[in-house]
Amino acid sequence: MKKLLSVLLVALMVVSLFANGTSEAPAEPETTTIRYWQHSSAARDAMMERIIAMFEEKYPQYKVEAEFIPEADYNQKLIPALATDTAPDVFQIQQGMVAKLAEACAIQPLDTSVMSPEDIAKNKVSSAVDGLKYDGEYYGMPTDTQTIILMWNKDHAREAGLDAENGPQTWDEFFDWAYKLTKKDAEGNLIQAGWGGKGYWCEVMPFVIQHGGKMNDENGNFIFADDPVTIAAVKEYFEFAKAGNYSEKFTKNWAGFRQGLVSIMLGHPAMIGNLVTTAPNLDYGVALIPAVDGENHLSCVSSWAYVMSSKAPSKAATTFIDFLASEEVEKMWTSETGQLPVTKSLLNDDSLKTNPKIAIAISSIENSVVGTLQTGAMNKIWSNGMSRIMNTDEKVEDVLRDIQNQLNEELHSEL
Amino acid sequence: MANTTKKKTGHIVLFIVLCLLSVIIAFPFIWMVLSSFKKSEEFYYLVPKLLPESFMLDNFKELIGKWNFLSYYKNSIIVTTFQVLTNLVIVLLSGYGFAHYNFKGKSFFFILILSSTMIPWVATIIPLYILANNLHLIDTMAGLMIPGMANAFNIFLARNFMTSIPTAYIESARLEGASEKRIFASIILPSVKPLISVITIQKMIDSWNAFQWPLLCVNSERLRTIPLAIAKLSSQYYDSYNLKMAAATLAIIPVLIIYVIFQKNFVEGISLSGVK
Amino acid sequence: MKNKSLRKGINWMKVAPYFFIAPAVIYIICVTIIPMIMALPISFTNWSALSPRKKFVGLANYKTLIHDKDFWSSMLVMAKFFIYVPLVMAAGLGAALLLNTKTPGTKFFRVLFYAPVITSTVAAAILFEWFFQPTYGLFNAILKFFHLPVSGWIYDAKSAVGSVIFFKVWKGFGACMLIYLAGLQDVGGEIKEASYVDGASSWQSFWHITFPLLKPSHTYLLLTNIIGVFMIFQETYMLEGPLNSTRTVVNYIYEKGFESFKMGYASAMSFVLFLIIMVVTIIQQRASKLDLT
Repeated sequence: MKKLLSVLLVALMVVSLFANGTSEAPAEPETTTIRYWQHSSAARDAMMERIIAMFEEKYPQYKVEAEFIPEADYNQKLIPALATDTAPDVFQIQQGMVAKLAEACAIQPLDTSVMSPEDIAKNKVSSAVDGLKYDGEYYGMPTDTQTIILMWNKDHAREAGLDAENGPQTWDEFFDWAYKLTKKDAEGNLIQAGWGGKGYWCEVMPFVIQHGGKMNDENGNFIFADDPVTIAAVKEYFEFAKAGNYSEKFTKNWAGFRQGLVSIMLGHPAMIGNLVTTAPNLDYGVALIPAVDGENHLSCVSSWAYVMSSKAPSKAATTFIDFLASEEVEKMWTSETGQLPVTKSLLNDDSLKTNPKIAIAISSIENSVVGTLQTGAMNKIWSNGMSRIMNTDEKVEDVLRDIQNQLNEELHSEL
Repeated sequence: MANTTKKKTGHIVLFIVLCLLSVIIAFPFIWMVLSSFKKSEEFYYLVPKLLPESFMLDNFKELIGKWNFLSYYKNSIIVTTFQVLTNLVIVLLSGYGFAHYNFKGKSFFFILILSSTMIPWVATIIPLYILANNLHLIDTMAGLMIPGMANAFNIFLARNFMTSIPTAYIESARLEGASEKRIFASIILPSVKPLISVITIQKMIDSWNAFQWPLLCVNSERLRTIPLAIAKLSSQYYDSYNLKMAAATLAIIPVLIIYVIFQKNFVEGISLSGVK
Repeated sequence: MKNKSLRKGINWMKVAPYFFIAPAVIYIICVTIIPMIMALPISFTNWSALSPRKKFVGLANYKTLIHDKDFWSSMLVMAKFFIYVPLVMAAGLGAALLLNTKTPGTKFFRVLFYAPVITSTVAAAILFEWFFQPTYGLFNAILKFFHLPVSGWIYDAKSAVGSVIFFKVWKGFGACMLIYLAGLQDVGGEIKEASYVDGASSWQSFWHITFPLLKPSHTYLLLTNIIGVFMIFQETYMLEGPLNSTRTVVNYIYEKGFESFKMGYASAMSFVLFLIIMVVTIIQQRASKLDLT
């Protein structure tokens, strides 16, 4: 017992030692400190630290204190900070959260003396920044921007006698490929799925819009279940899978694509970087998302955003966001990590297009719309609905009606 | 004579059964350790292989060199040691109090302690954060350690196990004039060694793997613990399974050591004939 | 002299228990009870937790909850997990009995049997996802080898809960084993003696002597595992079945609080759950006290 207590005492002393060590050196009076949080991984921290050093060199009056938080746990970390009004000055957030946070007065609009709305509209791709507006003002700048592109297994295509180099251009060709690339054994069990689509909203949305359907009205409310064209498009989207050509029970779609069990995928350009390490031997092609007419390859943009808390020093925080969204920094991201740029002048920058796959990904953003399901909760409602369509006999109309109600409720839940 | 041969065959049969069961039960553990030598792409094979293609140490090198993984051990060891010790003191004292005394409010206090385990963490984590924030404990070592100082279930366990100490021992010591403190230190504690082992092992694992509160409480690098460091090995579009496996393997070593040391307190009590 | 010390002892006897339990009670009050008391008023507001602003809404959250089908269906999903309690306790007891013998290597086997508890949950979940995979997974390969019908495991809404229970038993029985091993230490000597004296068969001595003497372990494991089932979150968060088939009540509370930002509503649901667990616990405590006598 005595021994225990003495060990405890020592432990307590160690603690107090550490506690004393926490007091920070007083900051120089003329510098403003900007606290910054981002979701990230060990792999991206180093790059961000370099960017911050560049910023501090350019603006010596500002100092940035950055913290990097695992992506899966980001909300759990950010929400208690928001709840206690102790959120960092600048932080990242999923694009769909911007309106919610602005409504709750947790974030403030960008300082127009640093970033004028006219310049933003002129210099940035509109589908990437339009979703960051609330009540006519910009509340943030996009980061980690993604579109939807097409990827296919070239070996499978060659084996089936298809044009492995160019891929399908229209949706008719796309489904034709998907069926031709599907293989079953004598008992009818799948051995290769032509396509691994399971209704991810980022791919359904451009599919619907290309087919003349509507997801949202002018006010952002979801109206897809009221629109017969949209319902027909969703049915068409699922025809392939519902005919027994793909299900998660066969394989998870990206795992299957890596392993040569799934031939075609629609997905984010970020997968290009992923596949380099996870499937180095996979020979695959990349193209723009198919088009109804073969011309209008409309895609859909989703992103995160840099925003600033309502307590942040507005000028300093906006200056930092301006720097993070600058051409210079975007160029670094694209050339080193393949992340898509949203500054218009970079879309035709040939120095970024040395990798042909990345080049296609960059050009996909030129013809795109803003994704409208960009929060975790909306994404979950949608994918539950799609899972019901795929795995049960419920009528498509009923399921869409049901998730439309849930989504609108989620959108307008009173804060 | 016949009895001993029967015993011997019994032991041999049991030994074989135990070998088979162990392999099945520990298979995921073995797989995890072996996987820490694999390359990233090996995790995406259609049918994963048990053995790595080559026993390369790159994952460990990257963790220790590039990510400075070993530096997080210091924080984890400080927090865990502190919490295991405070837990022992708090749990043993209160377990004895509840097991061998009758006093006013006994069941109230006992239910109060148990009730702390009945509310989902989702509801209390933000109030706890608000509390710690008002006390300026966020991002301090003290704030990191305080919410894990004792485990309510362990108090329950201690109470249950201590009730089996015969009251007669305690009474006779009292009659001999021993103080309550002395009774606790020289009669109770020595007779609950298995209990001490169990709560030490349990709390050690608990504190070592604690994630939720450290995630909220720690903002700066100097306080980061091992589970927080492991979480950073995944990102939005890419999980470094290979690094995660290596990190999980490295992180397990102290737990394994503590377990091996403390389970020695359980002697093989009964011969085979007793329980079979 | 003797009289004096005795009187002193009696006084001390009255206050002693409070000293013994004081650290625990103070600790629990500061770290859990105060936050709980702080959370209660939140359940009467529409707080989003995205800013400190909140509005009092009276009993609205509790009224919504009564008609929230998703809440009750998540309760139902959680209820299915109660089958886990007897399974994990039986497995833990079996393992403890097997490893409480003098067979060589027992200490080593105890480490291997405990390995699931210390295996990183992340690592285990990655591996079990492959085990459960219907077409190429290990479990169905084994079933096919023995010409048994295959399952969709977690990928099928019908078998998802069962699969997660399987995972949980594997991960959790070692912890029960440890408790039973510690419990067996207390009864070891008595059993040996008793069974020698009676000449009882192994089964009889187990059922009539060992099993009842393990009562402190049984009651502890029963109560903690039951509360554990009410609180299931982690496993069903990682190994998620389709169509909300594994969405337990705490998963649902988490969804509402941290994904839909209805912290007021999440708090209300938490307190309803708290009341239910409290009632169950008190009933169980009463029941176990009854059969003690």
